[in-house]
Amino acid sequence: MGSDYYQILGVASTATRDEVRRAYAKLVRESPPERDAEKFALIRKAYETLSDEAARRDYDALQAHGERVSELVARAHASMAAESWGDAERAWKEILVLWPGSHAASNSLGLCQLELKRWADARRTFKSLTEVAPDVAEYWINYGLGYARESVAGDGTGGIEDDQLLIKARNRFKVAIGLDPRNAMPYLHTARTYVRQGELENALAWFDKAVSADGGLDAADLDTLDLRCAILARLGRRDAIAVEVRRMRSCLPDEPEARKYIASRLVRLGLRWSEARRFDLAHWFALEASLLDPAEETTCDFRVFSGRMAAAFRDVDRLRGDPAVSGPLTTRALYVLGRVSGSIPDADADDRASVRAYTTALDRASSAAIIEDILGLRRRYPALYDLDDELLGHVLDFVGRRSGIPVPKVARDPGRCPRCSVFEDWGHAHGCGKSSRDAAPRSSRREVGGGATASPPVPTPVARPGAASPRVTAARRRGGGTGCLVLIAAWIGAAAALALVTFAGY
Amino acid sequence: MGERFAVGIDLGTSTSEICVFRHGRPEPVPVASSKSVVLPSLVALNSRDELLVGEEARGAVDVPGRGVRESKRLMGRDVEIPLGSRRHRPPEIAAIILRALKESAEVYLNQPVREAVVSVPANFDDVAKRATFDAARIAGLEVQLLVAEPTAAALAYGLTRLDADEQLLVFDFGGGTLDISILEMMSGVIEVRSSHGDVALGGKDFDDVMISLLKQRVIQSVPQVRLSANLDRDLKDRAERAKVDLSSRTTTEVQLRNVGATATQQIDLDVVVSRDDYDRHCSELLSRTRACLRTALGAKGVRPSSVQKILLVGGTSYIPAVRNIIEETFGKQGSADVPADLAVAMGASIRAAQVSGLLDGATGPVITDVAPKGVGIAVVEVVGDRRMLVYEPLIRPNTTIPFRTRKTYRLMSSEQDAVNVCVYQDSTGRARYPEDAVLMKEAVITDVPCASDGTPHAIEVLFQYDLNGLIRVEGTIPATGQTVVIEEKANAAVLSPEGRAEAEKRVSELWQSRPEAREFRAVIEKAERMLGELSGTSREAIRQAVGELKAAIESGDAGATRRLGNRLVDLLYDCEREEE
Ligand SMILES: Nc1ncnc2c1ncn2[C@@H]1O[C@H](COP(=O)(O)OP(=O)(O)O)[C@@H](O)[C@H]1O
Repeated sequence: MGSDYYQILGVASTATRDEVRRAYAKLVRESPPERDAEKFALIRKAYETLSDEAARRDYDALQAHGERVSELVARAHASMAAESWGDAERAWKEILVLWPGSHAASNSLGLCQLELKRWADARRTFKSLTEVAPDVAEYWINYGLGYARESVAGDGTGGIEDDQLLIKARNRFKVAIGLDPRNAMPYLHTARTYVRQGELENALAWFDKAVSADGGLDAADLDTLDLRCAILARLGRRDAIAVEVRRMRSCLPDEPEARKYIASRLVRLGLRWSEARRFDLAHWFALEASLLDPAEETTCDFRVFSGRMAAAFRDVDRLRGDPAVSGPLTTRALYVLGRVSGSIPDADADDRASVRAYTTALDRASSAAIIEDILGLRRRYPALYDLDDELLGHVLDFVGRRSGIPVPKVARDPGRCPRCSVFEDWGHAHGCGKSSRDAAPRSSRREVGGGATASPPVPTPVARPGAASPRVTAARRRGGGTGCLVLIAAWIGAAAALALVTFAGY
Repeated sequence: MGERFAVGIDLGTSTSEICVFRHGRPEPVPVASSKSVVLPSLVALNSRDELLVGEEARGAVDVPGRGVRESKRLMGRDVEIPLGSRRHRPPEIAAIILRALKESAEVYLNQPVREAVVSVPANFDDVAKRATFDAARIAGLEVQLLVAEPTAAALAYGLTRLDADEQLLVFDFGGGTLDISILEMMSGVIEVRSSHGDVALGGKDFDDVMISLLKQRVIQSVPQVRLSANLDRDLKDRAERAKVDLSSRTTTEVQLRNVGATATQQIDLDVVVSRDDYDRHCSELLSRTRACLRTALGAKGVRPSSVQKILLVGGTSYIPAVRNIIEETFGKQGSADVPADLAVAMGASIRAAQVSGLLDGATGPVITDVAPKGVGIAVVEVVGDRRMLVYEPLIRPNTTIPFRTRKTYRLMSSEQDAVNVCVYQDSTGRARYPEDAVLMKEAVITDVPCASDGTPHAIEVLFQYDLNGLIRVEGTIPATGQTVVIEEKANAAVLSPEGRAEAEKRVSELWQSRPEAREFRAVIEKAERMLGELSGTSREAIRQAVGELKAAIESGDAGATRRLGNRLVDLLYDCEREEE
């Protein structure tokens, strides 16, 4: 009917471009724009479509297969939503057979192939897409991901081949940046390639470009600032983290709710480090969080916890080379004590073996040696000792009683603040009114963390003021295990992978 | 009823013309006061506060505060132009020029002229176009249609070339603007494909270069000179003449009188300027010209070799260095098939003939034009991982007009109670964010009720370019029936009805002060004196003639004034003779 362009122009579907032009000219002379605007618009639309090669092909395709195509598009979207990438891929392929000119379909096909980790296919798709639509930044980004993700998906040994992939990825991202410098994505992806290669300073710089891509700092930049913090921590740049926290604050209005929200994000960052057994780094974030939100209990608890753990870790490091404490016995003792006092109900065979080994060692050692060992520990490594002072105290008592050797009691100061105890460098940020001088080493950990003593307190995520943020996800609650256990286990497996920065994406 | 005709006007920065289309072709109209077909766009007051327009204003136009040149550059701007004791809006000055043209045509046709097609630069913005409408109304003219100057020139060329099948480039370099249009001619249809221009590059800038070159020469020859205060104004005319001179000769001599003084004497100087020297000083303007041409060709990916014909239009295209650019680029010269200074007015009258049905597709060419600027709105979109405000193009640059399109968006949430519709223009076709485009106007729909079913309201946006290339954007929330309309900037430069009435009054008073308007004053005085002495039929006839003449003068209808004035003269003459 009236909507068929060939009929409007009165030409055959095989008409050449010249025939189309002539037909158009004849019609326009009959209905010039000043005479009948609507009729002209119709003729014009038909002419513009049929005289442009690509537009005409698309039009023909949709005229012939429009129904099937929209059916398939709906199906493809549903499959993608259900993450059935294989089904989606097949649907997009069929769409492209019927309608080869659809850039959006090619792009979706490529995305499915990325999900299916078929890097070469994905790259081929995006290569031809960027050839026909070279000025769409998104296509270049996806093209780059075809390289970057393969590198990430590899066996992780890096090497020259990986570097090559990452360089190629970066080149694609660069084109995207040229096309759309305000899109933060390609900067972020570039930064990640540098993270992959361990070029952290470069990564930092590119994350920074991502932050400033769309102009100033805003809430959308918080994730990127998180990543920068993670890297700065890894580089040991404590001061720079404080600067970064200030930038985070300027992303949001200066209101108590916003400060609480940033604090909760910082705690989450800290948690990641404590999962990686880097309590020193976790503690930095806990400190920054406490500064922002001093009254929040869970934050405070996490600060205390991470501080204690960090101190204990430092003690462990020192302990290893200390001849004054008889190493093997103490470490064994600590390990098993940890196990015994810990909350793991069914220790596995190895643990049971350790318990037996320890018991044997304990039996063979003289009571004096044990007492000396534990007292030495308490004297020189209070943080370490503190982790399980109750149990160690019991052992002391027990061995003391058994052998008749007098064991000095530890005086407890009931007035100590439970929250500030470990942090002499810190002061009483939560406003307990004590000066840091009063903050002698800690009280019982039971007072601190409540039931699940050593597992770090989980911060309540605070909704970002203003728009509900999709990024506020609840922090995972970590499983049981005592601090002691965590600590020692990490230390025993001396080469524990400390540097774990998980980057979302890829 | 007289024969049918249509009128087209080229309202130029430095010169204006009017053409009448009849008997199937455009006829340039000689300007009543000068016999030339070109009316310099000059308005001034003489020492007796009488209004001078065109060539007659040349002597007075450069007296500070008493004359206006190049007022077209101010069209659509919120400025006031001093003229004697009054201040005028730019459309008022344009109205005076239009009125002079209109009256010339009325005298030429011996019929009243009420409507015309008026040409504007292809890249005139909407406010300037509205100001042009205002100017015409003040002058007592209805604008049938605005036509882009290069489009009009192409029409003048195409009128007699219905069989041509070629790609055409119109290079329209006038007093204030450079417009370049690329057109395709096929089987009697002339299609403008793209239009690109520099709205701030024209003959005026070449005059300025000449002025500074002349001043340089004065300082070189008399280093201790103090240049006189209004030197730029004083030199304007001589500089322009020197520039024009260099188009046909390789050197020109300029006599400078009283350009300044030293401690002891006034400085008079004769300066010789060579074409080479002048060209060197113009190099910046020339490279802007080159850049403009390159962009124009790039807009549709046109290879210079595929352009069969180059029409040179506008006085500035006479400059040899400008012609060189054309030759360098296309390897051939511009054509002289249409008169450079009249093509636009001729084309405008052809367009008028088309609009009023004097000419149609069966008898002449049909033309389609484009709107050079793209239009879009700002919408929120997810870019990468974040929501950003992006420019959403709804009409691409160089879309054939008239054009309309409709698109539906959703509000961001069901509780959103206001929407801001921001309309942007983009002439590059590459704008991605609002910052890359030019904000035209914004409008807010407020007090939007909550969407009861939780799905955010849909908002429908209608974009439209009319045949004048004027934009109209309409935002509607169908669910609530709320609508906003966005047209040109509601700027002080566009006159309100009251503003226009005042402007009309000011212009009409000025118009009365034209020396011509006083032409029949003595005759009327004489007639009124005679009325007392006369009686009977001749008294009644003279009384009536005086009344009609006064009305004609009042209405500013020059043709009628002349006709009725002459009749009164005849009556009085006969009367006197009878008495003797
Ligand atoms: N022979 C010439 N050489 C150089 N410039 C010229 C010549 N003739 C006219 N001009 C310049 O052309 C401009 C006027 O051109 P015109 O086509 O009348 O433009 P507009 O329509 O914008 O007034 C003036 O700046 C005038 O000085």
